[in-house]
Amino acid sequence: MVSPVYDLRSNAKTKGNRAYLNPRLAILMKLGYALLVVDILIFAFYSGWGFYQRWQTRQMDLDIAQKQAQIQSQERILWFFDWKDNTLPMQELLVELFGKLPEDMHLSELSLNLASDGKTLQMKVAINSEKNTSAQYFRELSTYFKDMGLEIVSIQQTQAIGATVFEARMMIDHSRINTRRQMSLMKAVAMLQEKGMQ
Amino acid sequence: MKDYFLSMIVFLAVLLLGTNFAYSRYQHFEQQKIIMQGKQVQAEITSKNIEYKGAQLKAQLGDDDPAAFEVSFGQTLRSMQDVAQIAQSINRQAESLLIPIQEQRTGDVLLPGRPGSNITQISAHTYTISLLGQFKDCLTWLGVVEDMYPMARIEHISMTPSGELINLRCSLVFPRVDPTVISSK
Repeated sequence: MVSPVYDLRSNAKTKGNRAYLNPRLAILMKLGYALLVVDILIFAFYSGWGFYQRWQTRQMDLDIAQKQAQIQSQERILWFFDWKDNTLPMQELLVELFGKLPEDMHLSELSLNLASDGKTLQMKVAINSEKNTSAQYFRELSTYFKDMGLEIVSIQQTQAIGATVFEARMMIDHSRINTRRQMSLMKAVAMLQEKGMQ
Repeated sequence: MKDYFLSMIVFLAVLLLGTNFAYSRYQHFEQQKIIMQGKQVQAEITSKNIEYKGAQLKAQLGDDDPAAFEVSFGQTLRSMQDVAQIAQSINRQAESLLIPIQEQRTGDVLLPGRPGSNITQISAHTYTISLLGQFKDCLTWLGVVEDMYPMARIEHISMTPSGELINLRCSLVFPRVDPTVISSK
């Protein structure tokens, strides 16, 4: 037997799109639809705002990259100034050194090695003289270096044929060296001015 | 009721999916917010870093503008880019003082960066030269080379007598940085 199309109790259809629905279920359905609409709204709202934030983040990334490039430039410049400050004026050092050496002092070797950090100097000098005289000469050399701003921290003495070899490690005070240079420059300028006035 | 059963299942599934999508969007948004807050802090720290470095530069250079450094030292830095050019100009100076060159050698080295800096290494040329000449001429040559390349460093120098003359052996280091990189903003 075919089930009737209409429910005799409620006069409503039992099949099709206008079929009878339990009222409780109907409420739940409406709540469900409402929830779906809220979901769509939430989805749209946070998606939109999230895209905007992502765009802002990208802009910030560009800004940070630019600032970091600027910092790199500044770092390089500061590196160069550190490098320059820790560089020894070798020619000046040697001219002054040889100018102060006693006439009877003869060297068979002089070598200077500046460490890569610019803070220490290794010196090897071979003085053509007997041991005691060489030691005296070396003390004079040490005094000269100390005045320049180079403090001897270790010495090693060995004998070679006809010469005494000294190997010394020195700590460099660049600020004293730079001050001396500036003072020499000022003296030279003052002398030139005096000559000009005369 | 059984006629609605499948539809109800489908509807519930759609509802759950929709809620899941909405929640995932919300979570994604929260993550993005945290990332952006991190970036804001990073941008602030970077700005403060720039100010600090600018103050250091002002103390040393008198100006925190990298372009000012490029104007003062750009020529010197450019002259240290090409090792062949360096060798040529140094040789010319030796020849003008009539000092024969015994030996010369070039090389490359990596110099350490400043402590605490994000630049860990700077590349540099090395140039080693051996001359045999009068003591006075050798010292003059040394002074000329130091004046020509104020940013270079003499790391090793040795002098040994050779009859009436002296054998001067010298190693120089030339840091290699493109000055346009420094001044580019």
